Amino acid sequence: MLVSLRKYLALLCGLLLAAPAVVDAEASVHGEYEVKAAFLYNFAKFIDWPPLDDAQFTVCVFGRDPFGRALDPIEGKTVGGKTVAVRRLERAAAMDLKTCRILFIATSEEAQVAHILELSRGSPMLTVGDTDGFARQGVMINFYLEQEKVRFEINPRAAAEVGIRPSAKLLQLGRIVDTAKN
Amino acid sequence: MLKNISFQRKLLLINLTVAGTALLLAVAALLVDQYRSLRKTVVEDIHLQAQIIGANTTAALAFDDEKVGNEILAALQASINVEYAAVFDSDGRLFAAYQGAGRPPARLTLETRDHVHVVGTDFAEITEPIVLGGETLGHLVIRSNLEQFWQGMKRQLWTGAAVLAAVFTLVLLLLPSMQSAIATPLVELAQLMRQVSASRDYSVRAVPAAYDEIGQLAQGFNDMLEQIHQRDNQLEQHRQGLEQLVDQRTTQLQQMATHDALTGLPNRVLATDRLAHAIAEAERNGTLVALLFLDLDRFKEINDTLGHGAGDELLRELAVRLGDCLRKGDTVARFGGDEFVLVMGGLARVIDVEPVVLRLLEVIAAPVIVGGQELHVSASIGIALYPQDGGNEEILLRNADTAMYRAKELGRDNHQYYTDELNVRLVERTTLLGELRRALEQGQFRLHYQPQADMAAGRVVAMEALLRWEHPRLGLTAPGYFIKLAEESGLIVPIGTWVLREACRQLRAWHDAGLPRIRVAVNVAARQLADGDIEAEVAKALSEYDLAGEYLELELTETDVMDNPDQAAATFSRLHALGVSTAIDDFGMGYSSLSYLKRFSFDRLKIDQSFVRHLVDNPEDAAITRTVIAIGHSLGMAVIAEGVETAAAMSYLWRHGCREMQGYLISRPLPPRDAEELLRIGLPASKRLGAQENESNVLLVVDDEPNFVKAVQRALKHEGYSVLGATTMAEAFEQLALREAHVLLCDQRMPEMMGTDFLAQVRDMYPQTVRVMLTAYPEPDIIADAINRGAVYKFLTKPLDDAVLRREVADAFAHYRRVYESGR
Repeated sequence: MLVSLRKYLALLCGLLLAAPAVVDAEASVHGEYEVKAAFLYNFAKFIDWPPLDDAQFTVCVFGRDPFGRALDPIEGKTVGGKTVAVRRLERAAAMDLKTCRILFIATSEEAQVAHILELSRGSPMLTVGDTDGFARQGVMINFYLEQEKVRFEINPRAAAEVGIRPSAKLLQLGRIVDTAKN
Repeated sequence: MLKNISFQRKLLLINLTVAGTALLLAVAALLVDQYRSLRKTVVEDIHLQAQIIGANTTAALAFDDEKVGNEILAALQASINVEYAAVFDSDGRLFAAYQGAGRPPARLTLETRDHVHVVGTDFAEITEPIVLGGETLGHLVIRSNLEQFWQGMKRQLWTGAAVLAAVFTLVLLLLPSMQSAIATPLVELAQLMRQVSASRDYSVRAVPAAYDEIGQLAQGFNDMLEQIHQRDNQLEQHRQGLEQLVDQRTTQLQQMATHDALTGLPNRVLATDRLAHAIAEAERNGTLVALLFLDLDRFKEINDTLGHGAGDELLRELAVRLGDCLRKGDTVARFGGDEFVLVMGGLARVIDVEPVVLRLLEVIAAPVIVGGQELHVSASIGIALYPQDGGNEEILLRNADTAMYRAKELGRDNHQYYTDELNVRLVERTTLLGELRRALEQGQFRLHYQPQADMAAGRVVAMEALLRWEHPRLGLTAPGYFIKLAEESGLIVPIGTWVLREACRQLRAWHDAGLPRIRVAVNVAARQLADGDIEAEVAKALSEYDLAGEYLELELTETDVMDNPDQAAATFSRLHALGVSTAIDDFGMGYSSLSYLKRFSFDRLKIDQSFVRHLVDNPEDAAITRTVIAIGHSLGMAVIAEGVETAAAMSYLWRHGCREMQGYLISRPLPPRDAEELLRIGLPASKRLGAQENESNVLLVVDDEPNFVKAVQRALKHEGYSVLGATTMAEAFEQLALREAHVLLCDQRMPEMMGTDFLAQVRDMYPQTVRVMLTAYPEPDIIADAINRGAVYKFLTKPLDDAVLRREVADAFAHYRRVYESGR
């Protein structure tokens, strides 16, 4: 037993010496929006969606797109059996918004957040921003950086209003923002 | 080792071993099962924990929240067994880790991306993928120690041991009583079996205790006993049958062993036994036992002439007759052949035997009709009495046999009581027989030779070979001492052969020495005729010593010849063919018929010396001798007298025509050297008897007074008579034999006998004599008697004067011439 343990340790040490360069190289590739793009997709999985009859699971970016090509990887993935599609929206039209299940509201649209939220009300849609104060305004999840790590705030009440429920695990990770309390 | 302990212990041991092994295996199996299931449970617990933790960390991992990840892992503090836990992201980078207090550090890299359990002895490690919506976000590794598992196992082990001990104790307590249900009937059965085999009582039965296999065993045992019982009974019956058969056979065998098949009488074995009983009884009662040994006379002849069938018939008839003579309780037995033995017990006196013996002889003598022929047989009986003639049956039998033998010797058809003297004879016989055998082997026999002379020629014509025994102790012994025994024992045959050869050898030597060619006469015994091959022996001896048959004469006694006349006749004719002459010895002693004598064609007839010896003074012997000489001559045989010892005898024989003589007067038997000498020099001239001139006028005066004889001689001196004188009868007989006397003057009163009697004898022997009696006292009766008998011619009264004497003598001679010479 001691021998096998020792064997383990030996193997472990070998791996420790060999692996770090690769790991670091990969880590350096992930930029802020690449992380945020991955988070967008991940959020979808921690949400209890009501029954949807969409053909696709549409991720929309409203305003000036900060992601660039960072959203490409999530395009084609699936959520609940449906293929993820990315749409970029220029204007706030109710028709367009209704197809979005995740709506990223860019910082450029800070001024008309309330309007956009108003338009999107009534359809099950997760609203995400990365602008300070968005959560308090009613955006359900808002990214922020903490010690250079991407973190997010959650406004569960806002989510509940459109009939979607973030899972407990998600709630555990995000900083809860309760608008009713304010 | 297991073999010799009792069944019950064996059973207990087996049961305990089986139960113990079973329990042990059960507990071991249980423990193994427990080990597996416990271990599985432990691993599953860890797995479950890993799944929960993994699920909980999905969000933290998905959103790269290490803090939350570590917090979630920290919840493992509740599980004290968890040593460490680590979460790696999809790139394999360590995302979060937990390390239990005092536990080894969590690993920093992911080794595999599979779902893997690694279970060691004291740890279990699980690598669990963290999956979210089909996408693997990373991996969780949890390592947990197995302390709790081992504690559980230890508890299980103790419990198992306790259960084992308890159950084993219970088994130990319960087994004996349960086993006894099986063992007791078996032990009882075994005891019963031992009892049966010890007592051989197959009638006992086992009582079946139950209807199980042991019950069946008991039943089977009972069935077996039943069968054995039956078999035993059958065997017993069979055995009894066999025993009966054996008894029957034994009786038959005893009958065969103890009885004579021919006559049905007891045999020697049974008779000896009966005798022993009779002796024992006589000893108790102080009575006598008579043992009669009976042997038929001449039975062999009957067998030979009439056949064995007739002999057997005779024996059967006699067996019946003998049986009829006996009193109740007496035994008659056949000892074999023609020997019968009679045992008479309980006799008070010796003379009580006599009537029985006489009756026995009588019934035997009564004619027996066998095969249409009337046979007359006789028996010789020897009698021995207990206690005086022997203390046991063996001695009695021997002594009775000896006595019987004596009866045979004494002429058969009589009975003899045993005397000690007989026994002495028997012992001597036995000793002598042994000595005789040795004598033959060691060459102790000698031959002496007695000349046979032709008296006319005055020379020896033959030598009779006479057997002598140079006895180592007794010296030279004449055959009278031993020849009878030699004949009885059959030794006479080889001895006779030796004599024949030795005689021939000697004769050859004499011939070769240039001595006169004489004959040798050899005696042949009856046994040599019967048993030996006498012709072959004679032919062999003659050819070996190159002798012509004429030089050998065989002498046989008259008695021997008459034992078997036919055989003798046949043998003699063959001997004659060889040129050998034969002589009949001891003639006059037997009862030969003259016709036989003629048939045998003997060459020579030998007058027995017993006649010759008393020839001179016994008128009967003289008459026989004269007759024998006459018979011999008339049948054309030479006649020789043996035992010629006196001149008177010689003269008498000569005067009666016997020309050959043998006896001391000529020569005693001589050893070979002396015989040879005699042959060389010849007989002295005195032994020669010429033709006697017949003196006339010979007067013999017989008077016991010599002066009277002289007076007569003086008175007749010149009268031309030859006057002979004799003062005794013997002298007178001798004178008469030596010379022919014509007139006898005899005194009436002689000391030995009366003159008239003497003259009567002289008349018988010498009838051609004139006999004159002288007497001083004439007694008319005597004179009348003498004259009537024709013994006396004239009586003269003493005293006589010379003139009367001369006149009377002249008258007597005149009478002689007138009566006897007229016819010549």
